[in-house]
Amino acid sequence: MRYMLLLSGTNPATPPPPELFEAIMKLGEEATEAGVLLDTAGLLPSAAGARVSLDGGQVTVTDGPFTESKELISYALYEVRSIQEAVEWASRFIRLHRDLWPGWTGATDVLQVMGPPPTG
Amino acid sequence: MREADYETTRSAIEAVWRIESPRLIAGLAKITGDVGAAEELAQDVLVIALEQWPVQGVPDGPGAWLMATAKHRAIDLVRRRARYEQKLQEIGRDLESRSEHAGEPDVDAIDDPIGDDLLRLIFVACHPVLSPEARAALTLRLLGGLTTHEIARAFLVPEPTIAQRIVRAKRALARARVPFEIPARTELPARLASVLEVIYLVFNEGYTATAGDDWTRPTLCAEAMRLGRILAGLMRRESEVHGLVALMELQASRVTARTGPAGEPVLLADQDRRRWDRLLIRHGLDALARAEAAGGPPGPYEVQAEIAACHARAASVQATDWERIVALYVVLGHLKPSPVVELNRAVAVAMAFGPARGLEIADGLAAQPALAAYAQLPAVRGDLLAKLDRLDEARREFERAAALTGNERERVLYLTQASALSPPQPAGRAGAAGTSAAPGPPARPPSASGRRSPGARRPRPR
Repeated sequence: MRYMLLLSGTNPATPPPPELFEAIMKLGEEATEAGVLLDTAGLLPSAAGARVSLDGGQVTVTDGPFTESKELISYALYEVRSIQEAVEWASRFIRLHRDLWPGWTGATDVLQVMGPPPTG
Repeated sequence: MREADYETTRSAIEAVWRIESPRLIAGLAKITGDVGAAEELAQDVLVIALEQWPVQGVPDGPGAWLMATAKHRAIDLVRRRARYEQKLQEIGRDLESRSEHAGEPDVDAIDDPIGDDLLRLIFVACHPVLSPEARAALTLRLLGGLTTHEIARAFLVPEPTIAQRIVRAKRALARARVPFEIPARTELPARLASVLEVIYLVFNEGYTATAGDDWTRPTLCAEAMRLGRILAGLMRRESEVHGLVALMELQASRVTARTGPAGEPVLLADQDRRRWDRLLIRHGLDALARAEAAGGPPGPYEVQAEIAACHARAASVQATDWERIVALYVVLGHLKPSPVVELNRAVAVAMAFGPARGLEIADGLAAQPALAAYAQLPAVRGDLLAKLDRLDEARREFERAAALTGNERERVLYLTQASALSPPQPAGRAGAAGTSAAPGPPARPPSASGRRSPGARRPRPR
């Protein structure tokens, strides 16, 4: 089963410590070596992005930042055997933030990627 | 604790255990020198976690907790054994003992930063003293963390059969005194071949499954790819490991497109390529590039992956580099001579240089005893004869293919192809519902177990 993990959050005033990056790299390495991490990347702040929206038949393009929500920070695509395994990898990722970047708050959404439909 | 909470914790524990168990078992085997004992110890630790965590809460570093607890128990076991052996010696008995069991155990052995223990575990689980079936079951158990029940479900055999297979495999390893180590340089090629064979067997068990529920095929394919990726991480310089990963990922990218709305097999030529899994294709092509970068002459898995890559890169059948595929089949035929490879070459030659040339090769295979009952041979000949407008002969070949195949869905496919060529039908091949225009590929990879018909699927609505 394939899961998309989307990390969003609010950064504290302090800059992210280099230890956090190192720990994130190491966790990614572990997940890759376990054969479960298919893809991952960090995302730049939405100030560097844009939003294309549809409302009332009107297509609108708005430049970032999108301040009304938390910033999306990264995504990761996992191939695992159960949602619990995906949740475990997400938890490890979140715990790194707790342990290494005081004041950081955020969440990882664990979403299943649509696969072939189950047989009836 | 509420029942629901307990269940949540329990499944969380099982997820942690599944992630950690291969390294846990590998580290324990390093201490005990015995894969069977290591697996039992790991199971004990799981039981302890299942008892304690729902009450005390899941520890912060669950992996480290499992590892530490396992380490203590392994050391206890080794000390007990050492004392036992000492006692035996004290009473004057000459006991043949393994030197690493005497004295203090190597407590740091379980901390395994570079994954050597995991590699040892893979080589032991896939040891040639075991039958391929036993190797597959043991590998799924030790490296995949699958339960006996799950393995039985995957291989469509009763649970006690698998339980017994695993018990016997562990005993056979102990009896043969298989050391917990990575094979020496001179042995490595043969031992690695044995490992790759097991992984590909697991993959094909899933990929070519003709029966079983919806869980079976994706689980086995995913498990085999995961094992392959783990091995590729541990043996980065072995081109055939990357070749096998590439082959599995490129083949798996087509899984969804291989089945039609009524569950019928869809031949490569008729597949909707938009349904191919782009992510797996990208992964497979990357793995293939790593295989090439590893250097050395390409092995059979790499060559097969190259062939799969030719299809993956092509936007359509017409845009496929069939001449390159022909050349690759020639190479493969040298590496692993097989009439099945020759038949595949016939199909590629027909696509590259015309059906008459392909038919010549296919006709030459008709006398091969190995293909006497192989439904794909008349199916390919039928297809090529149809393209040459020899419709009566083509129809008879498809009817023969239908009579030979043991797979119901394939039988229906061949009969459909045969009836599309019936006399009142016009010769307009293009309109024949994508049947006679289908070039294959007809044959399963040559290293597959050969027990099942390729391309046959369970019904899947979509």
